[in-house]
Amino acid sequence: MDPFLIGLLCLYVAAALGIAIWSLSIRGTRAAQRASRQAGLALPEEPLRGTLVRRLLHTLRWSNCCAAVGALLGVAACLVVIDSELPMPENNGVIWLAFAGFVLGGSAGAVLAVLTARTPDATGRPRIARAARRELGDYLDPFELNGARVMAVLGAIVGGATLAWPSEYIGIPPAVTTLLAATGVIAWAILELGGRYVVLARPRIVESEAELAWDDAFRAADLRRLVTAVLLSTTYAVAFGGFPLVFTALRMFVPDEVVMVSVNVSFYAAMAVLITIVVIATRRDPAHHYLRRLWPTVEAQRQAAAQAAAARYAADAAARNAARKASR
Amino acid sequence: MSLLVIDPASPTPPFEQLRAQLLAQMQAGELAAGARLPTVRQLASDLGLAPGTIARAYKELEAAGAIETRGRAGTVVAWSADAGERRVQQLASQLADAAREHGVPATRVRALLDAALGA
Repeated sequence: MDPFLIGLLCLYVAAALGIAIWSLSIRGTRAAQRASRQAGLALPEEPLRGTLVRRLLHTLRWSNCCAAVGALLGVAACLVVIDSELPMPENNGVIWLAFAGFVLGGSAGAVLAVLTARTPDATGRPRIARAARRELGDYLDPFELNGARVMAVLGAIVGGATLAWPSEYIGIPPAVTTLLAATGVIAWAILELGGRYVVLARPRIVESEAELAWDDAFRAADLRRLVTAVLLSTTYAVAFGGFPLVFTALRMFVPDEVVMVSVNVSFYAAMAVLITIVVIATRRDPAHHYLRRLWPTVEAQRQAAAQAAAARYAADAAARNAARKASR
Repeated sequence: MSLLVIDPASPTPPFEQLRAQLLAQMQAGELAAGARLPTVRQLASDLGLAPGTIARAYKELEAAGAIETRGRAGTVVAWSADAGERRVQQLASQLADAAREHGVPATRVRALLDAALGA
């Protein structure tokens, strides 16, 4: 067994367990401040803050501990694959199985966190609810949601095709590609079913607009965790399975030299496409899609505050520069 | 963003608070025609009310032609600017049918209608 691969797997297990231990030991206030920055919402006063912190820690712990369990199962799958003596030109590629286990475990943990959460009892004060039905599109940017759907279908096609028509050219064992694709499809099922019927359907009695906005923030974060699991696991399946599949087919019609050139050109083209997609996705700011959709006034205030902070920072920097020049 | 606020301490029954708010939001255009409303069970859980309370409010809105149930699409807003007039027209034709059936003359029907309208 490749010592480098064993080292990678050990490092991987340590990292997954480290994340789980970190989530069990993190202080609520720090986690809440982090969540506040990510959600784009100000932290409310007590007693709502305490409720939010408890809910946040509950989700974080379930999600990270399940991710660690998923990672361990993924590592076990890696060891089984390595032990099976399948032909592996690049056996280090199996490490992605462990990573797929991590993201799938995290997404299952997010759904379990919702199922095990206790809904606080109503206090008798006026209660607030949204008049329109909650939809996945309210919480997930269409770029992410549709991207996950397309990738899941693509992953399933590639996984099935790889298993039916194993490539002899490059890549990892077909069984690994199929396992990665299967992970992606399971993650997709968790997103469509768990997201719709657990995360969105979760009842929550809220008594203020701030509480409702935070409830939306939690739902959006949970759903984005599910989408990430789909995108990551299917991307690996498509990358590891799709390329060998296409090039095995190409090899039947064109000489090996041309195939090699095509492999290199396609790799760089795929990297360019991937980087472009990541840039577009980042620029769309999907983490705050729910604010734009459900809380447009809060989003406008957040944008104004961010612009004011940027202007203040620029003015301070200019003043510092001017003072430095003057002191010279 | 349209929100529903239910005050359990209010003397107005919760179903009436819900019905009035939904109708007001439809009339204000905050809930556009075709917008999907939450399911009875979902809204009951979110507001901490009995499903029957939500179902009653929806039933009254449906009877008024403001919402309709469309199978898998669930309950959707059907209210539009002319929905009220269409509803009155529908009731007027029912009134005319009833008057003919019971032999009430048109002059008497008009008098009854004027009295009901407070004219």
